[in-house]
Amino acid sequence: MSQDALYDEAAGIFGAALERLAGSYEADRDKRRDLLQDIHLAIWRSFEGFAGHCSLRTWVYRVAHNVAASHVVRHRRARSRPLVNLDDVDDLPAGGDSEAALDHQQSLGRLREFIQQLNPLERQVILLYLEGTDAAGIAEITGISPGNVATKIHRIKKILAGRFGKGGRNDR
Amino acid sequence: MTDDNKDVVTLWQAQGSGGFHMSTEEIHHRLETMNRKLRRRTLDGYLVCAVLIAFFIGWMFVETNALQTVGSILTIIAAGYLAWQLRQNRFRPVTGDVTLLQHLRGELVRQRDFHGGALFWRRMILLAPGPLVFSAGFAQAHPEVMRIMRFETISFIVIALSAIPLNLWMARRYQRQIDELTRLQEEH
Repeated sequence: MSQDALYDEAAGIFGAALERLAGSYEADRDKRRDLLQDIHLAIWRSFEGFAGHCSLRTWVYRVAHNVAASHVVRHRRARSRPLVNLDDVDDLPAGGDSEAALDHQQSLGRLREFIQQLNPLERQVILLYLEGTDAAGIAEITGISPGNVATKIHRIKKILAGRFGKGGRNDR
Repeated sequence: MTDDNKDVVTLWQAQGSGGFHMSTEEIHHRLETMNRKLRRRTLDGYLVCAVLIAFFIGWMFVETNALQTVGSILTIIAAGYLAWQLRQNRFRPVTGDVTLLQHLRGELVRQRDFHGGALFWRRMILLAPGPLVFSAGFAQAHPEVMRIMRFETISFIVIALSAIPLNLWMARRYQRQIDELTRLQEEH
């Protein structure tokens, strides 16, 4: 399969997920678009060396997250807020909205904001979890041991349920 | 997955797509433009190094004393080193063969070495002495500008010396992140 054909297939299948990924790495609209373009260019370029040793999904997510992680490392100095681990999440404010119910857009904005505070590795785990990737898939993409992924997912589930689920802090 | 999380996952996946699309023609065009810009930037870097080398070689024929000659030679070596660095730091495309953990570690190691590893010390040792020795030689040949040269030399030394702790502090920060990744790899 040619590089162009592989790219077309990948963009067709994962295009929307890549947009969500870029959105969770970059809040600024223009920078987000630049990051998304960089991701697409990197994916096309990477297919030159794609030998099919892993699935298309694993390959595309690896390239996309690697580009996004480099983006975070490069632009890290410009940010004032430190990135945190999942273990520190309890110390973060959940957001001060006291409305009875938040609409989807607000919840989504808050979820994105929450994800953007995490360090790149944990951000990747939570994003893959939200994209419906199972623990084995996450381990293959990230390189974190399956046991460690399972621990992180357990923690993520707890945090998401507490912050965004029914009866969670945001829905009161 | 709890029901609550199912809602969150559904909410996440139902996000409206911005309809971003890049055709392969657009990709080819953008990559060509990007490669052209990269080539241009590298050539500009080579040009600056070449001008520096030409200037200091020329200076050795125009006017020189022992210190200026040594300073010129050291600066020529430094410019050559910068050109070599430009060649070494050529763009490396991201690949799907490496996991995020490996990629992130590579990025952090690169940043750490830039700020505190052999690369940093090589830069300091190669780039700093040339201009200093040359300035000393110039001041010796032109005592009338001694005060200005002294001021410039002291400023240069102060900046160079203050760059050391700042860079080492940044290198330590990157090392802490690398250690965190190592811990993550070793767990379980």
